[in-house]
Amino acid sequence: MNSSRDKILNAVKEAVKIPSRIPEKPEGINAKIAESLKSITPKDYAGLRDQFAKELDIVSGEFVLVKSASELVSHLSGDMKSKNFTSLAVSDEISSKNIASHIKKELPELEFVFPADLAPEQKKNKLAKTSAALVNIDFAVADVASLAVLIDNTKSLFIHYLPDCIYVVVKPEQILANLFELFTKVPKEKAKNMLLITGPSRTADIEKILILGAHGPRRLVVYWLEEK
Amino acid sequence: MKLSPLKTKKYIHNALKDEKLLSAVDKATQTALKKREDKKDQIPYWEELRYKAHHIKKNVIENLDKYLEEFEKNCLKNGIHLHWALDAEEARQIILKLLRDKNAKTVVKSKSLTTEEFHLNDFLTKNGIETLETDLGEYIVQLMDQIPSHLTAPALHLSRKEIGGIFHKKLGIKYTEDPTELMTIARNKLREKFLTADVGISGVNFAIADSGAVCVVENEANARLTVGVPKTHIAVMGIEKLLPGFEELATFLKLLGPSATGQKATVYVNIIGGPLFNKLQEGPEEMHIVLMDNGRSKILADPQLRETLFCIRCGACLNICPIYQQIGGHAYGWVYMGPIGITLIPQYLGDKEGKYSPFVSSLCGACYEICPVRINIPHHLLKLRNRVVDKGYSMKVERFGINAWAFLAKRPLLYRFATWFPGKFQLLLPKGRAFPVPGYTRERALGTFDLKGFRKRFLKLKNSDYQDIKQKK
Repeated sequence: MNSSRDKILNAVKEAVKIPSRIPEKPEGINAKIAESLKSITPKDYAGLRDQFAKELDIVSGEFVLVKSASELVSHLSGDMKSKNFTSLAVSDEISSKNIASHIKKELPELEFVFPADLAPEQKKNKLAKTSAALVNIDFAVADVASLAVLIDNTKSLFIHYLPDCIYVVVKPEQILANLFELFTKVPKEKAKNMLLITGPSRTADIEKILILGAHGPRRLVVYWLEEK
Repeated sequence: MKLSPLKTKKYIHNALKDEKLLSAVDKATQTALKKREDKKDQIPYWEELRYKAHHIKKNVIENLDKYLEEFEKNCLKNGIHLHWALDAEEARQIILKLLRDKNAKTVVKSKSLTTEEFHLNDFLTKNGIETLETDLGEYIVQLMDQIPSHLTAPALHLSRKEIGGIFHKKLGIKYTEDPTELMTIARNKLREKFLTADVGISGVNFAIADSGAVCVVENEANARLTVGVPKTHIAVMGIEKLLPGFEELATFLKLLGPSATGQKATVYVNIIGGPLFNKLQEGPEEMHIVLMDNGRSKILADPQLRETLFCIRCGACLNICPIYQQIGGHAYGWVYMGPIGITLIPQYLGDKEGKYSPFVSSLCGACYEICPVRINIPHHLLKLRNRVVDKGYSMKVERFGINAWAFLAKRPLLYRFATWFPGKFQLLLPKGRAFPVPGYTRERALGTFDLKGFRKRFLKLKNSDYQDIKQKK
């Protein structure tokens, strides 16, 4: 232990012995917040999904509701073709790999990149040059349209922010109402390595003019897969 | 760009003459306020949330020793190297040593006001390490050799023409003032640096005591690239940034987005609890946190002013402040500006160096009304003003004025003459001209004196008038 540590902690310990002259909070705040949250939270799944879609639109994300994996593959392949994308990074989950195998049939000339197969140094350079990525997430937060990625459940984080366009597959059971629910649901051991993403990367640092795709992805497309 | 709060009067005079600055600041602050209002209105429990955040911070600050020890224990468990820095110099040396140990040539940096406190960029550059700011606004002000003029929008004071000009001059590109083109140029330049930099240095918005994790909030993905790509990540934070756990983090994330940029949620929330290379085969192999005091424990020792440590650097108080709206950020002369800045300047730099700062306020109270953690800034400014006066650092002219008034107030006849005289004297001035007071009336007008004066009016009041006034109240 260094002496600065002890000096700082001792100074802090001495300081906190002095009672504060800061007012207390009024009673019943937590109950009021809970009540208010309840009143504005959609009551059913469809309401939450629609709220997510609306909020995603506000942050310039794209929402596509698909009823089957084949509809997803068809839409995604069409989108990639229209944008002349040449490569697609695929996250390591089996579901993503399955979808990718179907896309391959639609777009045989497309290059597929699997981060788990790449050496560490190669990984960042390759993904930075990849047109798009197909990824999974762990939770979708309805009231702010945030997507939560738990690092324990993924093999690559680069894939979520190095390519230019991110296609995310979300399933109905991943929806949560708000951030309070997210942090209650995720155990702290998992929450301590987490990434929340709300729309494409952006900046308004020049005269407050909004520009999408600052240093990260320019597009974020959410495929909401309501497959039975 | 070296500024000093002791020159704040000069900076203010210059700023008031700068029409371009006024227009840029006005546009930016009004846009931010409008967006904030819109998002806040969608959160009906906003006021309750402010109270809750205030209470969370109060608990943390009053028990900071316990939370610091808990944070340290959990960081070590997560494989994070924790370094305690008593002051700016120690923080600089810790970082330099870490970089030299790694033989680092290039550092990418995401926005960190804490590192601005100790001029880290200049220090590292002087020591032969290329240090690049990566937030677009920060990158621009670094190219301009300036410091940020706003807590969350560093280049708010600059026009696209000025930005285009500096890109052309410093980066050797063809002149353009198109914001998208300018962003693309910066993106391409910095993308290469992200991929090759040896170390990433970030700030910290919140640190989670019960998990040993830090949270970095941003929109551009530059912080994500800074903390996630280079082999070593160094996070620099003040000791006051702690929160007990993730439940409390949710409250602060809800408040921060609308208050800072008028967004319901910022694009990226990076929660980092240790180096991830072993798990992912990518990103940092080592993570270091520099935990800096640099005057914070001294602030903590004041039972009232410790509330200023609650600040989450959202910048909402700057946007609403009628003074900031007129003069922008550089006029304050230090890295922290606006209403919260003028409470922090004398506390960090001392009452002598910060003697003018607490007076750069109209005490209108708008900052208190807007603060997401309910810091009673006007109340603290009064205390800091008292401190400046008690220590004899107030301006000579002020001291003379107050002493003169005290002298006269004890002598009714003289007082009557002294209050009668200016009214008569102003009759000698050309019509419409205000009474000149050297220094004071350079950028503002003094009101005209009432010829009757308060005494005469007061004595004429009848008892019935008092009743009338009472009833109106």
